[in-house]
Parts: sequence; C-alpha cells; structure tokens
Amino acid sequence: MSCRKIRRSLSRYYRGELAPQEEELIARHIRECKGCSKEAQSFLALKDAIQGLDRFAPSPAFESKLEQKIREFPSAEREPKVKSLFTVFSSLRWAFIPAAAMALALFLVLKGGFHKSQTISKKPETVTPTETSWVRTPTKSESLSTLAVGLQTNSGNIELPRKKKGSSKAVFVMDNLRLSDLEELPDSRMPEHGSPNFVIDAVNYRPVDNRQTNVGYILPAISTVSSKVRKVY
Amino acid sequence: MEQSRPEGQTRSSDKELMERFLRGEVEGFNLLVKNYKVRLFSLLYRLVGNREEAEDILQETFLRVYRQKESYDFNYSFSTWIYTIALNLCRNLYKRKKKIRFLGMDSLVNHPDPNSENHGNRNRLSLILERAISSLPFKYRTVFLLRDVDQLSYEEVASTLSLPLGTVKSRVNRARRILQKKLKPMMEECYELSKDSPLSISIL
Repeated sequence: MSCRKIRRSLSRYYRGELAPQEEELIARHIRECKGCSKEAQSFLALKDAIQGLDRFAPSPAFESKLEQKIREFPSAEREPKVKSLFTVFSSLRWAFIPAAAMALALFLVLKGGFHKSQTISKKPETVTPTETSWVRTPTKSESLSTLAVGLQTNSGNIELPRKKKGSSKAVFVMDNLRLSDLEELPDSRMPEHGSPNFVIDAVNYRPVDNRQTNVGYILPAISTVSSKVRKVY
Repeated sequence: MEQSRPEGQTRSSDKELMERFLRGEVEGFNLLVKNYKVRLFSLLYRLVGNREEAEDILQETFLRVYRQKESYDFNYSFSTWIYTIALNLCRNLYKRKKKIRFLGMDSLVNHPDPNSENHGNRNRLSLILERAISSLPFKYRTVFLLRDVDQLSYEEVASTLSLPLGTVKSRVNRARRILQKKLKPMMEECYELSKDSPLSISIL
C-alpha cells in the first residue's frame, strides 16, 4: 500500500472502520515509515485539538437569573397578555385602508343615489370576526389529513392540505392569519416574503426546507394562533 | 421516528428527565439545564461571538423548554429539540442583525475565558484551530461545530437544522476542507509533513 493511500486511510483507521488485515498493514506501515508516522502524529494532534476545544460555561449567576425568569412566568401564564388598543389598531391598520376606501365609495354611491333628506340607516359594515377553532384538539401523532379535518374556520379560509400526486408535501395555507401573529409564534420560521404558509412534509412530518419548522412546533403554533385570533378580535 | 444517536444512554436519560419534568418534578428540568448549559453555551458563544448574547439565547432556550414542555415530541431525541430551539433563536438574531458578529477569536485567544473548563491547556494548535473555526462562514461553522465538536450524528444535525442529509454532509465536508487549507501550513511546520500531506480531518 502506498504512503499516499495509507495517509488517506488514517481517519478510517483511527475510527476502526477497516478490515483487520488492512488495519494491521497500516499499523505496521506507520511503525516503519517516518513520513507516515509524522502524518499519524499530526492527525492525532488535530483530532485531540478538535475534541479538546475549550468548553465555555455561562456566568455563575446564569441559573439564578433563569430561575427568576421562570418564577415570573406563571403569573404571565395565568393572565394572558392582552393586546393594547394601540397594538390591535396597529396590527389592523392595513385592514382599515381598504375598509375605509369601501366605506367612502359606498358613501359616495349612496349620496349620489338618494335624496338628501333620506337618512342612511345602514351602519358601516364591520369587520367579520374570524374564528379558528379545533373541532377537537389533535394529538401530535395524528396524520396531517386528520389534523386538517380537525381545523375549521368560519370564514373558510384555511385550506386543507393539498397533496399533489407523487409528492409527499402538503401545504397548509393559513392566509386568514396576519403575518404579525405568526411572527410572534415561538420558534416559527416564516418565509420572509409572500404569504405565511407552512409547508410540511406530510409523510415524515418534517419541514421541506430550512425556513419552516417541524410539526412538533406547528401544532402548538396553530393552537397559539387560534387562541390569538379569538383574543384579538 | 427516533434519530440515531451516539450516546444512547445519556439521551434516554434526557427523556427520563423530561418525563419527570412533565410529571411536575422541577428537578428534572434543573438537571437538564445542568446537562446542557455548558455544551449549548460553548456552541452559541462560538456562533454569536459575544458572551452576553450567547447567554441571552441560552436563557431563552431554557425558558422555551420550560414553557413549551408539552410540545416536546418523545419520538425525537431531546438534544435535537433543544439544539433546534437554540439554533432557531441564534438564526433569528442573525436575521435581525443581518450580519452576525462572529466570535472575535483574538479576544477569546488573548483574554482566555475565566469560566473556561480547561483554561491553561491551550497550545498553539488549539489557538489556530479556534481562529480557523471562527473564520468559517456561519453555515459551515454551524454544521462543523455540531458534527465534529459536539459530535451529533449527521442525521441529528440534519434534523436540528431542518436540512436534507446530503446538504449537511456536503457542508461538513466543505467546512473541513476550508479548515484543512487554513491549518495545513502550521501542521506542516510543526510535524514536518510532506507537501502532499492529505491532512485528513474527517476524524470523527
């Protein structure tokens, strides 16, 4: 076996992945060949250096700070965070623009179509509350199709997973939810642009790309959004 | 869908701790913190390059484990779950800042961390290695640290980063090749290696 081949086999040799005869051959070669012996030494030094990289510990106060944060948590959990009017308005501000435009258009049409003495009894149309709710709470082991059946919305704008023929991908389109809601979800990774879709591998419950998250996060995430939608409106 | 794992015993005990925690025993959580704080902090510190930020991410990671304990899926290893949380937070920070401040290895090297476990055992090779790792692009550094330093299996790295297995393998190889290039001159000098030395670092 040439020196070059020996050197290229070093990692497998030290991992014990070679056949016994090959292992013996390399061991003997390393003992006898000065160049390869140096190569083996450098290899082991590098291996030690990588495995022996310093471990860093957080500050000594880390655990007490964490404990304090946790102690603050139960009260926050008991009293769900109520969005301030400003936040609600701010998150709905884009919805107001078309609503205002429509109201203005309606006003102009009505103004033109009715006599001045006629009063407009119809109140401006309000935003229809969007409610998302579980028919029943799904478990994590349920299939996505079951999960989809379990998720209903009165405005009907949560699409059920679409499974293309020959594809293991299912797409949840949750376009009734505002991006701002989704951004607040723990550990959710949303696409930076476009609609906030979750794309999940329907067979393996795995995200199909690194922007999405796995179903372990999706389920609580959807629950969070559901409760959030109810809470906001 | 259990992921393969190098230390089955340790990981199954993580699950036991998680089960205890879910039964309401806070001690289970405290032990998980003890088991993971140094490992995760070392990773985060090398990724974000700043003690305070690394500690903030670490704290948020454990808080999420605490708050979202119900969402832990026992079909996956606990380490995959907690690494995923930590790395997602790290990535969010990266996105927010657009350009993450990488660990200034000079500060690490010249001002050794007082909390470092084996402070004083540095040699030239490990210093150069630290510098070389810190100069890796973020995506290569992440996979290298997870695979070769924290010794997660390829499958665990793929699951943690939500990347295809092939992508992880190619990134690990690329990271190793970059390091190889950076370390070769020093290794040749110290160990009088020949110029055609392969300096294989696919060692783990």
